[in-house]
Parts: sequence; C-alpha cells; structure tokens
Amino acid sequence: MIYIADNIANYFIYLFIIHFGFRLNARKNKLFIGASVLTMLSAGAYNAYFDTNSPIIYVLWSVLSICLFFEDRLWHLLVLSAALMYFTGIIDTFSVMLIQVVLIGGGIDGTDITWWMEPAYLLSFLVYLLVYLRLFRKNDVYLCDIKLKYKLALLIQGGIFQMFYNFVFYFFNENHERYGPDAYGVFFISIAGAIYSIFLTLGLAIKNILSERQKQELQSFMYMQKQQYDYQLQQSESVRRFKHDLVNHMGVLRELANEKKTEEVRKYIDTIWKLQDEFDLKIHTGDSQLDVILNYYFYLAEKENIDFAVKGKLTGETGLEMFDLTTLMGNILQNAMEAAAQTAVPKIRVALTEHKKEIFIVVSNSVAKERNIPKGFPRTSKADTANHGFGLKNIAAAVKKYHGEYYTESAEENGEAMFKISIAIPKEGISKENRV
Amino acid sequence: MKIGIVEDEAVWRDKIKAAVLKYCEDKNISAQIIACDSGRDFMENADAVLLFLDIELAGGEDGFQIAEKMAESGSQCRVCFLTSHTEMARQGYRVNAFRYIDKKYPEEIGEALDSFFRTKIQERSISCKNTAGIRIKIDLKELLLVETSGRKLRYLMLDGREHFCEGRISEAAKSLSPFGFFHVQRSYIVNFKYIESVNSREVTLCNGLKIAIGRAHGREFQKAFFQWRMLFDD
Repeated sequence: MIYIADNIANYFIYLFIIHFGFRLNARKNKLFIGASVLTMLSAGAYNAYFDTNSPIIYVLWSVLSICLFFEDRLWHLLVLSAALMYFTGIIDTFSVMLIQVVLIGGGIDGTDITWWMEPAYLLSFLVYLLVYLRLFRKNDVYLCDIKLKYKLALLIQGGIFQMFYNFVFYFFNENHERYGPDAYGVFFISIAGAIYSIFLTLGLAIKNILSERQKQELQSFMYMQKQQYDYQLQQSESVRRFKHDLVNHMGVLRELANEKKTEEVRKYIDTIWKLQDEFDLKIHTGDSQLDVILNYYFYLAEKENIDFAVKGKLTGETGLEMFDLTTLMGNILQNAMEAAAQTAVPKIRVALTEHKKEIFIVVSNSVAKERNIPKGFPRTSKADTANHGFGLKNIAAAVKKYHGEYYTESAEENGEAMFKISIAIPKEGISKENRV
Repeated sequence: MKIGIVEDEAVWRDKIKAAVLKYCEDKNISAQIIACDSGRDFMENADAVLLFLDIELAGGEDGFQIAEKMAESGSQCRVCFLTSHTEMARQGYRVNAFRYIDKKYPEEIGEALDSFFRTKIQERSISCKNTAGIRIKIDLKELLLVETSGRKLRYLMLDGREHFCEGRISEAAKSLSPFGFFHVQRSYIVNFKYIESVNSREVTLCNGLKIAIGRAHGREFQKAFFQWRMLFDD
C-alpha cells in the first residue's frame, strides 16, 4: 500500500510543478487523463506486488503519466519530465534522508520505502509551494519564462547539492555516533545554505526577467510618446498652413466684397468653413478625455491604413481617472493596432453604450486567422514572449478597480477572424472610486 | 406600431423616412411612420415607440427639451437623435438617448432599428399544455422563472400567477434561451430582465427570490448576463 501512496504523492508533486510552474494545461480529452492516472496506479501496484522500487518502472511511469496528462509538444514533455525527475528526485531524496537523520540519526542506509517517506514528500512539497508563492506568483514570472542559462545554472546547482548531501549523509551514516549536536547544527546550516543558494539563483533569474519587461514597457512608452509628438506636430503644421493661407483668403474676400459679388463671397466663405472643419477632432464620444485617446489612435490607424470606426455616444465624462482611462483604452487599442496591422483587411471597431447603471466599451479588431486565442488571458503571439502579453493584465487591473467586468473572445465577422474585448464599468463603481 | 421622425429640413426628413420604410419592408415589419417638421406636431402621437429627432429645429425648438418633456410625461418612446458632426462638438450629448445618429451616415439608421427591435425580443408568447390539457399562452415579458415541480414545469409570472405545464426543463431552456432566459441550475430557468442583483453564487430576482447558480454554469451565466445587459437592458 505504501508503494501506491508513494506514487500518488509523487504524481501530485509533478502535476503541481508542471501546471503552476510551467503553466501547462491538462488535456481536454478525459481519456488521456484517465490513462495517465492508470499508469501511475499500475506503477504503484507493480512495485507493491514485486516489493521493489525499480528505477526503470519509476522513470517509465513518470514520463508516461506526464506526457499523457499535459497538452504540449511531445519532445517538450519528455525533456520536461526527465529534468523534473532529476531535480525533484534530489529534493525528495534529500527530504527523506533529512527525516531519517532526525528520526533515527542514520544516513542513506536501506532503499526500502517506509512510512517516513510520506512526511518527506510533504516537506519537499512545502519547498515547491514556497518557491511558487514567494517567487513565481508574487512576481508573475514562471519557470517557463526563465532563460536557458539560469535553467542550466539551477541544474548544476542541483547536481552539486546532490553530491554534497550524498557525501554528508554517507559520512553521518558511518560516523554519527562519534559526533555530538554541534555537527548536526553545522550540517543543517549548510543544507539550509544550499537550498538558499537555489532560491537566490531563481530570484536572480526572475529579477532579470522583470527588468527586461520594464525595459520593454519603457521602450514602447517612448515609442508611443514619439508618435504623440508626431501627431501634435502634424496638427500644428496644418494650423500653421491654414493661418498662412488665411491672409490670402482675406485678400480674395476683400476683392470680392469690393466688387460687391455677394454670392461669390458666400461660396468662398463656405469653402474656408469646410477647411477649418479639418482641425476639429474627428471623433466625438461625449467624453473629452476619451476623445483625445480615440482621436490619437484614429490618426495612427489612418497612417497604417487600418479602418478605424467608433460607434455610440456617452452623455458626459466617463468619470474614470485619466490615468486609468489611458491604461484601459491605450492598452486595448495598442493591442488592437498591433494585431490588426498583421491582417489583410485591417480594421478596428469601438462601440460605446451607456445604460442607466453601466457603461459598456467593446473593441474588436481583425486578427490573423491561425491565431488561436485560448480561454482566460490570451497568450501573446509575439516572438518576444517573455516581454509581452501584460497589456491585458493592466486592463484587468483597471477594470477591477472600478468593480467592472470584462470578457475576451474570438469571433468571426463576414468570414474574417476578429478578436473582441467587452468591458462593463458600473457607474456606481466610478463614483465610489472617485470618492475615495 | 408607430415610428416618428421630427426634422425641420424636408430633404433630411424624406431621406430618413425612406430609410425607415425600406427597413420595415425588408424585414416585413408593419409600422406607421409619422414624419413631422416640429416637436409640437409630433406630441399628439404619444404612443409612438421610436422617434428620430433632430436636435436643432426651426422656430427655436430644441430636440433635447422635447425628449425631456416626453420622458416627464411618462412616454416610453425611445429617442434616436439626428445630429451633424459640428453641432455635437458644440453641444455634447446631454441626454442619454437610444442612439445619436450622424446625418452624414444614414446607414446608422438601419443599425439603430436593428438594435431597437432586438430590445423587443421578449414581446412574444409561447404556448404549452397545462395540467388540464388545455393549451395556454405564456407572455415572455411577464414570465419571471420556470421551475421543475415534480414531473411538471411551473411557470411563475411577474404578478404571482403560476401555470403548471407538461415538459422537460432542458427542452424549455433550449427554446427560451434565445429570448433572454438562462438555465441557472438543474431546476430553474430565470428571466434576465428580472434579475435584481448577482453575486458569484446566486441571483436575486426582483421578487426577492434567491436562486443558487449551478457550479457548472457560473462563468457561462456571467457572460450571458453581461451580453443581455449590454444589448437589451436599460
């Protein structure tokens, strides 16, 4: 029975690390998951029946059960399960030995599975949980994002760690009666140091990713700023041109007035009237801040030949703080522009709806057909995956601040693939947030 | 059904009337179109359901004021304002209307009519056999919920009346779902229109009844309710 419990504990640890650390999802087909569980149980039953802890069975069931359980490329799963087996094997064996030392004062003697192995798994699971909570989830960086050189460093560190404790345990096994509590104290401190060094390497790798992300965000911010300057420059140039022409227009009008050609004067004024119309904002939504953002993106879209249309009006200002509105709409429209620009018929649609209790904003954009958007956060399709795909998280944070809701979906419109994001912001949420 | 148009410029009035007429013909909708050149003339038709209303009217009339006056008198008429670009830049969108339509884009009229008729989705009835074997009609906009009651279905109306009919809840859910109803859990179908509040576990209907949301339906429900609020509700 202990063999089966042992396999189940191991199985859960693998699932935990792969799902949470590498962000891989389970297969949708339940048959595969069933086969994965069956593999794990039969490996346990085999070991129990023959009363053996065969390494071949161990390797086989681990690799097979992982490959059956998760949805990913096969070679990726194979490498992943092999690496995991090596690494978790180190931590697990270490935990087993540690508990052995604490309980019986012994070392690596005996390879039989005994009851203290289960608390040992619990101990190693706690180490993984700590890594997950303190490093991964906290920084929103996962094992799959970490650069290869850091992964290698971790592997080497793990190897050194294994050699070190094998040696120490062997030493204790031979000589534990000769040494007093001092030696045990030094031993535990060095074990803690070894684990700490793995933590540090991981922390360094994560810091590296975070600073890369920051750099990327800063760069895109600078780029946006440059585009905004271009936009302003273009606006002021057309005003200057009009101002220059105005002198000529006045001259013509004076001449026409002198000749008392009233009808011509009226026609000429109409023409000038139309010209000045160009300086007006092209999009009016009812919210002046939203107008600034939408008109800016309208300008960018025109430059990139993207069909950009806004539908719907608001009765007044949305009431969202400018910073939040920019985060929300800036991120959405930036994503939409980037995705739409890669399609044959690029288009972006913005729809605004205001009801008594809520404001709805729906933005849809054309996307390249092969792009398949999974549920939840769409994974970025950009080549530089480590530094992208966070716009949506900013959007989610802004929506959450005003107690709103949002949904993303991929749809088809006239045979073209579209990506759509719909947001609802309750008016009550806006007034509450502004009162704070 | 009456659809009104108030526009002082005959050219625009005729254009809009033609667009509405064409829409109704295409969709086989019988509607009476009342086209007036002033708000005063239109006021006699208080039973209109939809009004295309110009903002700057001749004789100093203001479309916003007309709409506000209609709302005060208890009119249920939905208003689509007709605007021109420069006009709105000056005035803003003071009143929360059903739509603001730019006169330069008459195709927006068709879209507005589409949306308007979508809001009428529950203005229909279904028929079913009650326990006495008599075929009865159930008005969807008055239907609060459907519940399984033994081997029957209990249709609870807004005013408290109830009908017991033959049928399976899954089949009822299938036929009601296009009309703003949702199968929230094994034995309940609710009308989105009468949901007062929602949290992640349950919905509260306008009569105070609380119904737990089935665990499997949670996310789906939130999304469907979102769509409903966006498209139909106001």
